[in-house]
Amino acid sequence: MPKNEKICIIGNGGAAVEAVKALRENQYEGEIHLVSDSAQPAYNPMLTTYYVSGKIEFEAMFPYGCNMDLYEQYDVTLHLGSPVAGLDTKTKAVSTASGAVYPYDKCLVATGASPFLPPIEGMDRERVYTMRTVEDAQKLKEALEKKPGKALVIGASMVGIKVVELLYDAGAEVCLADMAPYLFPLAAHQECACVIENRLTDKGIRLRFGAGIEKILEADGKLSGYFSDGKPPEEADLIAVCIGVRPNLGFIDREQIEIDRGILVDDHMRTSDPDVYAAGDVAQGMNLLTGKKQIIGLWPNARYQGRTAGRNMAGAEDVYSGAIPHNITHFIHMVFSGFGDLTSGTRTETEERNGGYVQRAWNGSNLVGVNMLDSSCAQIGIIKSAVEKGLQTGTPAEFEQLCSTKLRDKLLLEHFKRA
Amino acid sequence: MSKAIYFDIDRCIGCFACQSACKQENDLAPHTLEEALSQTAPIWRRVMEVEQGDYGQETVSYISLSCMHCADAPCVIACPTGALSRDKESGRVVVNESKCIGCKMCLQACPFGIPQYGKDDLMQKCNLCLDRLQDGEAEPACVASCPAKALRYGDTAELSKKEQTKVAARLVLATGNKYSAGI
Ligand SMILES: Cc1cc2nc3c(=O)[nH]c(=O)nc-3n(C[C@H](O)[C@H](O)[C@H](O)COP(=O)(O)OP(=O)(O)OC[C@H]3O[C@@H](n4cnc5c(N)ncnc54)[C@H](O)[C@@H]3O)c2cc1C
Ligand code: SF4
Ligand code: SF4
Repeated sequence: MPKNEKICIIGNGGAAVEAVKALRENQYEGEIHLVSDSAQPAYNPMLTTYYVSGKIEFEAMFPYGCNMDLYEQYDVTLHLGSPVAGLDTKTKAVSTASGAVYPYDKCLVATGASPFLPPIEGMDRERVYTMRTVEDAQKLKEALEKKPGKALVIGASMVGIKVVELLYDAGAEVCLADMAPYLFPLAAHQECACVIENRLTDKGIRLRFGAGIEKILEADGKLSGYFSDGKPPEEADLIAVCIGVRPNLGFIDREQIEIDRGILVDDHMRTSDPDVYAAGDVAQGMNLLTGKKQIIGLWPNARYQGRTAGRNMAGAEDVYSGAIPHNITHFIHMVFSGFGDLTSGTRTETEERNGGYVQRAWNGSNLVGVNMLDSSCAQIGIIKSAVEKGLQTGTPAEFEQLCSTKLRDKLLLEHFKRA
Repeated sequence: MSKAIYFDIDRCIGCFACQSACKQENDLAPHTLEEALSQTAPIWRRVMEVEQGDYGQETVSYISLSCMHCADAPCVIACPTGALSRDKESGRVVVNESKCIGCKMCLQACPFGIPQYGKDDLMQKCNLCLDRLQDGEAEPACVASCPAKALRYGDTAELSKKEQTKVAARLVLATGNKYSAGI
């Protein structure tokens, strides 16, 4: 590849950094321009709650180091504090809000996602928080120093539960609300959700499900969240909104690059424009379980996608066939893990033993979703990998192999076969 | 020089010496059956029983399993903090406990169920006897303890591909399609 080649990477998260590393590790010698709105080194959004709760130091939110050494090592030209406002595939240039223009031969969009705020009254109030960026974390941490008595968390999501945990640990009286009728509506089966809900209630965490937030008012120093069920509002000193994220793609011209919910990418992370790639929370790649393209907003997925994009941009052919949605979360002395979609099965089964809990959803003889609690989570990696590998290679793991501890042995054999 | 532990299923007699040697070497607390079942006591190397054949005529084999120190390790990619890394030179995948936050992302990523968590909730696993080898010993404790020479420690380049395939094929044959896992 010619040395005067220019690659422009937009964003500076896990996806962007993996692309940088893959470019240089695959002998790309041209220029790498990295344009990002924030001025910090790459941080990991999933570490924000750990910082707010005091479990990690500020510096630890930056997994690649809390300095610019990495960018120096990989010879990256940084344009930080410059939000991108336009990407033109005709002139092959990226432009920033302040008017700077960076031409590219190849471009990677890795701008991640931002918390979604519903368009209702009161979302812009001072004590309404979101959880994604380093700034979000700093603001919430400051708010905790004022020892909020009552807190309302809207969104029983994976992010929501981590925020509940840190507020609970900080001694606040917490209410968790969601429009869905139960906890983790995207990841859990109602039955498994119910087991967790009971434990949360036992800890004194109040749950208010089945009604959407309609407005947030403020009077006498108290915030009040009004819900669609018409019941009395929820009073709070602090409200956190964790109802999901939207990809940051406002600067993309839909006429030039194909977008559904996110930027549509193939298994090379290429968009509909051959010189533009996308990776991470902004990209809509393959969900192996459904065979449909879906944004899978996970840290490992962002890194794999970024790496694949980087390799391909460097001319080293690489394919990332997709992932399956999965989660593991550790909160208030519990562990929940799962993958797939528990509502898409024709049949579910539940198993409780040795202080664990497993629920599986089957579609015929195909496993389409799993929920696990506590000690049962020890098996999650084995099962998830079996299903994922099976889908990637077109040889779905069979019912018999997935049902019990037999699986562990089966997998072991698979590994040796491939060795 | 990248080194690894190789396992030969034909030689393993299921004596659990490697599992005990590993516990002793790495100061892992002994575990009760209950702890083993609920996976609350860390085990870095585990011996499992594998059955083959029909009822009444089954043969039993054993597999000794520990971290594979994967070349493109899924746990390293999944780790949000950089606590897990692979040392290119030695081929070791190691945990930096001071960076671990106990989030268990690695557990969800590992295809072999290897990551273990102690009472401190931090991840721990086989490090190919880092300290022991630095102290001048020639082999990891499990390899040294194996009376049947089923575990071998060697240069990854040294063991030929052919030999590896042969070992693997025998493993598959010996275990057939009926399995049971002992702990
Ligand atoms: C609280 C929380 C908990 C989470 N927990 C988990 C978990 O347990 N497991 C898991 O796998 N994942 C989890 N995630 C998700 C995970 O953090 C993300 O999927 C992953 O970090 C996405 O990486 P990315 O590089 O795509 O995006 P990001 O890390 O968001 O990076 C995007 C980058 O683009 C920049 N940018 C945005 N817009 C522009 C613009 N217009 N111009 C220039 N730059 C721009 C941003 O500043 C940032 O640098 C969690 C996320 C949160 C918030
Ligand atoms: S912990 Fe698992 S994924 Fe990580 S290197 Fe070991 S075997 Fe591979
Ligand atoms: S538990 Fe520790 S080692 Fe494992 S992924 Fe989380 S931080 Fe990394």
